[in-house]
Amino acid sequence: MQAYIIRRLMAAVVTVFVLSLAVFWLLRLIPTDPAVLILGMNATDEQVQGLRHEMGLDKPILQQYLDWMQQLLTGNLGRSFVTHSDVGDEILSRLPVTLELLALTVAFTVLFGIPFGIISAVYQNSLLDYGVRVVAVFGLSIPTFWLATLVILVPAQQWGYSPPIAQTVGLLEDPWDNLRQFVPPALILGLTAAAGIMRLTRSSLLEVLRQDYIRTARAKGLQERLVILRHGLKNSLVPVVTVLGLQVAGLLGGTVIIESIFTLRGLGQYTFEALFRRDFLVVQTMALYIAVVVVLMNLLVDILYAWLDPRIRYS
Amino acid sequence: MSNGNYWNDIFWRRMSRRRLLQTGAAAGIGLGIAAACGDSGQEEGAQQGGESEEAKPGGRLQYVSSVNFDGVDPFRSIAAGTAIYPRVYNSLLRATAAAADTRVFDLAQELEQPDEVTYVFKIRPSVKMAPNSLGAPERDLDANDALASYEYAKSVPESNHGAFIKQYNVTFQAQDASTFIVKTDGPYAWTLERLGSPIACIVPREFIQNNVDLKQQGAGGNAFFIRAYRDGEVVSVDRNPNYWNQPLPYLEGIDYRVITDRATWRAALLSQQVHYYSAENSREAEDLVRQQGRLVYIKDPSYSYVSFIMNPDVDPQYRDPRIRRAISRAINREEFINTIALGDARPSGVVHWSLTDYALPEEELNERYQPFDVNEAKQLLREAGHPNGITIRMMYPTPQPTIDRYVPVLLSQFQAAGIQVQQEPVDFATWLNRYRQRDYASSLSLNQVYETPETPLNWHISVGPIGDGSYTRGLQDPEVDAAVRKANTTLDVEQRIEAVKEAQRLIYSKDPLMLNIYTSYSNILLWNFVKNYRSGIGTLTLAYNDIWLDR
Repeated sequence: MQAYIIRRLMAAVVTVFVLSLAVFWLLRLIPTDPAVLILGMNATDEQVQGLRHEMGLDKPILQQYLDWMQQLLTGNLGRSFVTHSDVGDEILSRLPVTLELLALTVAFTVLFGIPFGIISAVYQNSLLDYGVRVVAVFGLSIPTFWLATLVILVPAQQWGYSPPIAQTVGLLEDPWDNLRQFVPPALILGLTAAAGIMRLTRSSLLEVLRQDYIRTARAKGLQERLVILRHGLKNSLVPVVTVLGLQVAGLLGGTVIIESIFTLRGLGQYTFEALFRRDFLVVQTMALYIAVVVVLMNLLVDILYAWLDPRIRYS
Repeated sequence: MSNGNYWNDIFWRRMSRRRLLQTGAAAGIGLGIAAACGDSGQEEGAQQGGESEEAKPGGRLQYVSSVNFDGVDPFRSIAAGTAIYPRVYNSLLRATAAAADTRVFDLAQELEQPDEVTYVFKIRPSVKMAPNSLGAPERDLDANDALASYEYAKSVPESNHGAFIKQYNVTFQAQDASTFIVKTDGPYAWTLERLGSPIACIVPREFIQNNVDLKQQGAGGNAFFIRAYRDGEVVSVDRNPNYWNQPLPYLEGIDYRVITDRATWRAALLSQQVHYYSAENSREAEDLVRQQGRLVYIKDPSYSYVSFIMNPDVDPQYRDPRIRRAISRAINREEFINTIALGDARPSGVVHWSLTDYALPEEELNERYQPFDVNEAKQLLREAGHPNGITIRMMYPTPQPTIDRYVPVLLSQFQAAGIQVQQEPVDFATWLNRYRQRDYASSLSLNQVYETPETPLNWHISVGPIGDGSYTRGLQDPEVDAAVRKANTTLDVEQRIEAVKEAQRLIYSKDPLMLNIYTSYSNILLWNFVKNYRSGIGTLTLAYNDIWLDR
């Protein structure tokens, strides 16, 4: 197991290094000059060159990459080209927002995805099953940005109500307002994720429920509830846990849009704004951060999988 | 002069057009502009309520920026920050050609012009610094602060204000603490507008000496100081208790909230979490007022427009004036206005209509200089040797909500005139970069807000809009260059208006490379408890710190 983890860790380090190169070089391939974008249409050449120098864009690209790596490895993420704010400080101040959103999303995903998956499997081909599946298809197919817009606009139009906007409220600062602010976006993000989990739970449980040992359990007179929850669900959750882990990483992408619509000052909004402003340093740092999270989640899932299923370690 | 109204006493300096003309004519013999104070100016632009009511102090105005801030550094920030730092830092005065007969004195209280190139400002006493933790004592600002700020702007390559100072070789002198002298290297018509623009801020000299980073913090002698800056969320400014013009400001503070999504902004307005909304068009504004009767709709002239621009350096067919005129004749501005602006806009000439006296009359534009005439367009193409029409390449930025709606209309109009378009949609950053480097055959182009005719005219001269050949090299015509130079150097306002019009007529006679489509309105909605919000005066609205909340 130890050797397996070390192998996976080494592969993760290489992956992150390659990703850092890709992120850095791909951003430089965009045919644009961030200095021009930042300074706007009235900027003179002198202004543009001055800002390019300040941003270090007049250095050779390799030098720029090495400078960035040096910063990262020494724990200094640098300062935003546009706002001059410390990128590390910004990430730290925004991280709780994204973490809370993700935690609530995962909670809703599990809360809705797994129970409805079980119900759907247990009552296979019943009206209940069809109903749950229709909702799941709805959740998978509806764009989150569209749903988010409706959720924010309709109550405002009808009743003059909307969740707190344009000021992120801390959980300890005002728990009620915080929940009013975080629950709607978490529900929207959770809907899509839960739909996937629900379908996976259903198919996985149906497969397990057809196994011989389930038939044996029933034959020996176990209660149906125990058969499903103790013998069926436990085994069917292995792929569900794996997918849930990967979904958490994937949800980071979903927060980019949802945080902007709900004006949550999280990492998604930070990335979105930086992209919009061509703030290279922030974009590449955030892209690398997301990549690292995805790699780490993959690593975690791999390890978890190996722990759950020992055959994986030897393959 | 005083009628008991606070700004008539010390703050508001308004001159009737006639008085300004007299002053301009008298400039050479040393009469002071400040001597020509007029009436209250209440009729200037729209003003929402409040004038006859007693202002209530307190409360925070919840304002919105639809783009994130790029900082609040008065020397460097250009986006949303330009709406914030003019309320933090003083200018000598505030002025714009959008409200040509209005000058609002600020750090300066008086101006004299002994000759055509010299501006002597008398600094107002007791303009005191706001409390701050940035190392500047709560002292009175003086001419040395103005000198430090302008010299700094000159020395920093990326400074907003530096380009003007360098382009016109402007020199500054603090004769003593209360006298500040500005000199240009020749007569320049827009000196006061430049000195009075929102980006011409005067920063306490300690900040400059100590190299204080002003991107996310700041304080000066104006009505507010920056209390909090949270990137992507809010910039909060608080009332400066030392503000020279007490009892202003009435507000306890202003929160500038970042809401980039229009639906979210609308929801925030309807739930009264913000007090201000910029509707997409008049129909949306009217719908909202119908839905919520306590909203007030203010229609404010815009100072920008979309253009079609041709580059003969890349596509030589544009060297033929008949081709340029054919393209001009193919454009039906009414159709643009009706389909995109829902009828709520007016055609733009070389100088847009919102600059009032400087623009050519609409009838003259429509009948003489830019009429829509498909048959003439086709005839011109035939005369130019293209009986089957021409094919052009057109770059445009996308996705851009504004531009995206122009493209299909323009394509169909061009097609009707026999002009086939090869489209080059590119993302905004690429577009800006290529546009700047003149790497386009033709482009559908966004423009910035122009509150003087200077830049709109400069698009047609050989050195281009910002004087370094970026974007376009204009018509490359010495006559046009001379006419625009004359317009930009004529100090007498009445003569200048004529010079600007003559320059436009000359540009039209040469068939311009840049064709402006239309200029619309900003459709602003406010809750009715927001009082004294001024409109119709462009960025001069930032000079007023008397907004209050009736709640």
